[in-house]
Amino acid sequence: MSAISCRNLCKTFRQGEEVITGLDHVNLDIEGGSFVCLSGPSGSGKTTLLNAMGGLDTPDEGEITVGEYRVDRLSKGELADMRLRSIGFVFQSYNLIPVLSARENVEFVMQVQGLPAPERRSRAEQVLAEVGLSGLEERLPGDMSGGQQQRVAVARAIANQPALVLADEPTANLDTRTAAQLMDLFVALNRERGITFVIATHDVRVMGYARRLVSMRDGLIVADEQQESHSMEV
Amino acid sequence: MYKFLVACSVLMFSTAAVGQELTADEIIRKAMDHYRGQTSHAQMSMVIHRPDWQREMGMKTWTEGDKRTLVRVTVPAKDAGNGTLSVDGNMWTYTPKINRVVKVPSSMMSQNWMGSDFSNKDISKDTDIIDQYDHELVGNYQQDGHYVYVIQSVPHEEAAVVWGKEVLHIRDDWVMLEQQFWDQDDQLVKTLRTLEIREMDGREVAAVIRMSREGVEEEWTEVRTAAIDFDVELAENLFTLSNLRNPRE
Amino acid sequence: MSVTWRLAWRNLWRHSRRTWLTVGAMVFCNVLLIFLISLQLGSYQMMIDNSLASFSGHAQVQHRDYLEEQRMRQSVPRAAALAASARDALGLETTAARGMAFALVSSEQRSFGVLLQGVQPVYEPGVSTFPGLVRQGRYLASGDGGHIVLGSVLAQNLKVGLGDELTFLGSGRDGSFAAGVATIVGILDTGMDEIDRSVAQVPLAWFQDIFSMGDHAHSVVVRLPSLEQVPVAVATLEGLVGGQDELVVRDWDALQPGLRQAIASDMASGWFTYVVLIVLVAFSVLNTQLMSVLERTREFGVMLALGMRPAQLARLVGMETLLMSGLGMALGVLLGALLTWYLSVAGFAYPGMEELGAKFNMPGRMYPEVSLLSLLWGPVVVLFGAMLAAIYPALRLFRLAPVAAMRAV
Repeated sequence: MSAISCRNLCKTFRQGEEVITGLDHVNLDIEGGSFVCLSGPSGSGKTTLLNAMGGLDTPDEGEITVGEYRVDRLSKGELADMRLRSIGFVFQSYNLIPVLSARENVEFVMQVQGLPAPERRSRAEQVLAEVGLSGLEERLPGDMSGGQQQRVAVARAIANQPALVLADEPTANLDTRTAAQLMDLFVALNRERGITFVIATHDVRVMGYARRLVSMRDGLIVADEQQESHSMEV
Repeated sequence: MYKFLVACSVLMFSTAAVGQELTADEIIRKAMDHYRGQTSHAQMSMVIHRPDWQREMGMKTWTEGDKRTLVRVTVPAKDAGNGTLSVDGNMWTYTPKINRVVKVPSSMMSQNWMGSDFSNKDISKDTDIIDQYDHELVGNYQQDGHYVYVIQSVPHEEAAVVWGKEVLHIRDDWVMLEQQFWDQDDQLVKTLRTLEIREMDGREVAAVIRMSREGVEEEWTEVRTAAIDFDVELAENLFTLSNLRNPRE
Repeated sequence: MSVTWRLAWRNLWRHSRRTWLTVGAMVFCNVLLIFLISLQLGSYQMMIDNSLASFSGHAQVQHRDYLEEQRMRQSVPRAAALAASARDALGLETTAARGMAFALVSSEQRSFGVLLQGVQPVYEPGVSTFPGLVRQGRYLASGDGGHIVLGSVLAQNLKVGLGDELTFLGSGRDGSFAAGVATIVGILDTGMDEIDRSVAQVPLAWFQDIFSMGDHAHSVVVRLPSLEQVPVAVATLEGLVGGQDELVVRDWDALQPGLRQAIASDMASGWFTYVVLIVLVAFSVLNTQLMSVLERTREFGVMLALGMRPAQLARLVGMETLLMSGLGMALGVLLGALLTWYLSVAGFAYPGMEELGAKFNMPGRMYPEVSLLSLLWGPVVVLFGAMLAAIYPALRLFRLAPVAAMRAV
């Protein structure tokens, strides 16, 4: 069974007088444990598709299934619950809570999930160690580099042990070396934990890591190819 | 004192007058006209009744016209010699205990006279009703073979009067049967009723009159006239302060 | 402390100047409320004390119908003896018998009706401030007979001075003619026209003689050191007059019903000021919290995207407001308590108040009342006002869509 299944997804936006096509009858299946890149220029529909998978945005038409969830049929509250328990998000600009330390940022999500305090703490430290931030747990986001902040964001995303991580331009604000380290981390998490990664990007360095590359333009999937993944040349 | 003297001053009036169309003003004026220019001398007693006690005073009164009254207490001995003189609406009191004459100020005129249910004003000024009120005949009825006029008297707007109106019941022989005092909110405050009419010195006299406040009928003051002489000769200095101070009677 | 509370607390200090300004406004408001309310309560205490001290006392023994009808015959028998046994039973010197009679008082030139008071010269100063306000001559002394002390305006109206004689006419208790002559020994000036126009006091023994009272009087007046002692004193007095059905003990509220009403209406007018203050502070909180919510739209969008519910965000804003107003309340109550505590010890006077007090034989300083009520009433309402003010900013969070919010700057 596919981890993600999209059938005839359609979505249009209105921008003033203009009607912009976000998704145009998109069909896509992603197997569990995949490492997929959605590529394409701005406005191609890749972020719209990612948001639809994450239940952040509802399509106008079509069906979308993520794991056991029929995303297009869920209520707002059920969507929030799904995001909280089954999906990890990594955003372009990290989006950490500036007044909380690295550990607290990770713990905060777990607290919302309702985990008891002692378990929160040990798991946060464990996850932070996994993303290579041991010793930096008590730093505030403002005192960390962009790469470190993005690692905290990754730690936050995987803290709830999701089966799926959705990342939207995760490397856009990072230099090549840091970007490579982040992608290595993604690859490692994909291999070791079997987490499915779907990454929307127009960064060619990132596309190289993907085992499957889905190219989009004007809301249509224009290419969908399997490839050998290879790390960036640094 | 005139208040009850109006009732006391009985006028044998020919029934010929009845039957003529009399106005309210004329009825009161007739009663008063008969009463004016007369003199009188009476022996009276005043009974002040309260639920838990009662007090009786004996007194002598002299009147001349409608402007002069002298009251002198005779009994009980403790109070004998106390006197009240009223002339032209002014009032003085004399007390032998301190041997002084005191003028009663106008602000005190609505206070009780000697702890009774009569006010100082009731005692001294009742003929004001002629000049200071507008009268209207509002009804009549028959009683004991007499014809009784019911007159409503409302004070002039500028009149210095505490009442809102008075209602008078006057018999055709000019005996006042009832006088009601109403306040400015049209509530009945107190009523003076004639309880007994007797012939004295050849006239029908309201021999027992009782003043009682509305709603407290167990508290009242009665004036009982034992004897009265009309048109008597009175000493010239009777209604003077020096006479008040030096009673010869 | 959970992460959420920590988050709320730290969020407050992201704009520490703004937060301090709002907290400062709350502290100022709370201190002002505490000061005004405790001053108001203190002034009521003073108002009651002064008003009772001047004449009526805290409690009186009367004939049961006297308060309503004020008749001569509605009297208290063996009044002086009753006052003496009340002094023993209460352990207080401040108890005195009084007789009251309506009389026509006359000088050579003028006459007025007055309510003549027969007082015990030795004990009256303990139950009333009037004896202390004699400005000419002296107050009554034991052994006085036909002597009188009267109000300055009444003396003017009668055109009399010290040493002049006044005559009284009235009715005795038995309905007999009452009359007497008294020499003026003192003239008192309370500064209150109504009292100076009407007060006239003579020795009780002479009064009883003139008005054929025997050993009767019309009230036994008791003045107490404080209002709290009234119920106990009333019970003691009721024990003393037990068995005499016609006698009742009345406390100050029954004697002066207007006093409580005056306080209630003054309280209502004070509330208006307080409500205005509280509304102003609430708006300041509303402004701060609204700004703080709007500038964090993006952050809230991320939290929603991570799976938080809008209600959880609203709770966060509520916690922030609670912490902020809790801080304002704690500081406000602390400062307010220090200020009013100091004033309750040192006293507080308006300019000119001491002179006024001296003139009226009253204390020249006010002492605010420090109580849980005066300290907490204002701040607690401010806290509730602030929480109410946070509702609108918190409600905005329910309209937030995660994607749109994350795109916000």
